[in-house]
Amino acid sequence: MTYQLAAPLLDACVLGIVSGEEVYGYTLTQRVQEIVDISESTLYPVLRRLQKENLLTTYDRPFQGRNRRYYQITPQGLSKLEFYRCEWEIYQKQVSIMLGGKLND
Amino acid sequence: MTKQEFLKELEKRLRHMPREDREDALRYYSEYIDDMNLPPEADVSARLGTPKEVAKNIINSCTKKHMDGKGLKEKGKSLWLIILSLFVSPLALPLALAIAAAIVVAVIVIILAVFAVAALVVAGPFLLIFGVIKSIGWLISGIFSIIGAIIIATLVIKVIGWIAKKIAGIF
Repeated sequence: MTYQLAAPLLDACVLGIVSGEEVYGYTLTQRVQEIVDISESTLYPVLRRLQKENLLTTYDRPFQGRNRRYYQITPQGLSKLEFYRCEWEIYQKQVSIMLGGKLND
Repeated sequence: MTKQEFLKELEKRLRHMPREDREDALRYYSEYIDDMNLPPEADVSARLGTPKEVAKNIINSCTKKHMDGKGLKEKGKSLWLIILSLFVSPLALPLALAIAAAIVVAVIVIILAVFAVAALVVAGPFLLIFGVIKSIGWLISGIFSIIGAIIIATLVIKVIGWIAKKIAGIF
C-alpha cells in the first residue's frame, strides 16, 4: 500500500474494527495488516493509549489454560468513532476532488 | 530470540516505567507471541522487532501522548518520560550522566561568573573612592617631602656656607 495511516486515522480504524467484532491483540493486528502495511508491534501503544483515554476497555476470557485479553469499545469510544467518521467523510471527499482535478468546478 | 528471552529483555528495557504499564505491555506481548503459534525455538524478534525497538515504541508513544496533554502535571510527566527514554539504551545512560555532569558544571561556572561581576559592580565605586583618597595621600606626602627636601637643602647649604666661612676665617 502506497499510503500510510497517520496516527489519528489509525486510532479511528482501530476503534472501527473493535466496534464491529470481538478482537484480541493478535487478531486486531491481522485485521489492520490485511489492509495497510504496519509492523506487528505498532498496535500495542495505540491500544494502551486508547484504553487510557477511556475509549476502549478490556475483558479476559480463558483460552487453552491462559487468559486472552479482548478489547471492547466504550460509549466515549463510540462517540469518538462517530466524530472520526464525519471528519473522514469530509476529508476523503476533498481529497477525491483534488485527485480528480475538479477543484475549480 | 525465544519468547522467554524476548520478554526478559523487554522487561529490562521497560524497568523505569510505572509497574502497571510495564506489566500490561509484557502481558500483551506474552499473549501475542502465544497467538503467533510459532515453533518453540523460533526467532520472535524477526517478526516483532528487537525488544529495544519495541520498548522505544512504547515509551515514545507515552511521551507523545503526554506532550499533547496540557497542564503542568502532564508536562512534568512528559519530561520524566523523556528522561526514561534515555534509559532505554544502556549506552545512553553514561551519555545522559555525562550531559548532566556538564550541565551542573556549566551552572556552577555561570553562578561564579555572576558573583564575580556582582562583586565588581558593588566594590567598583568603593575601590574608586579608595583610590582617589590614596592618590590624594600620595600627593600630600609628595608635597611635604618636596618642602622637607627644600628645608633640608637650605639648611645643608647654610651649614656648608657657615663651615666655609669659618675655614676662610682661619686662613
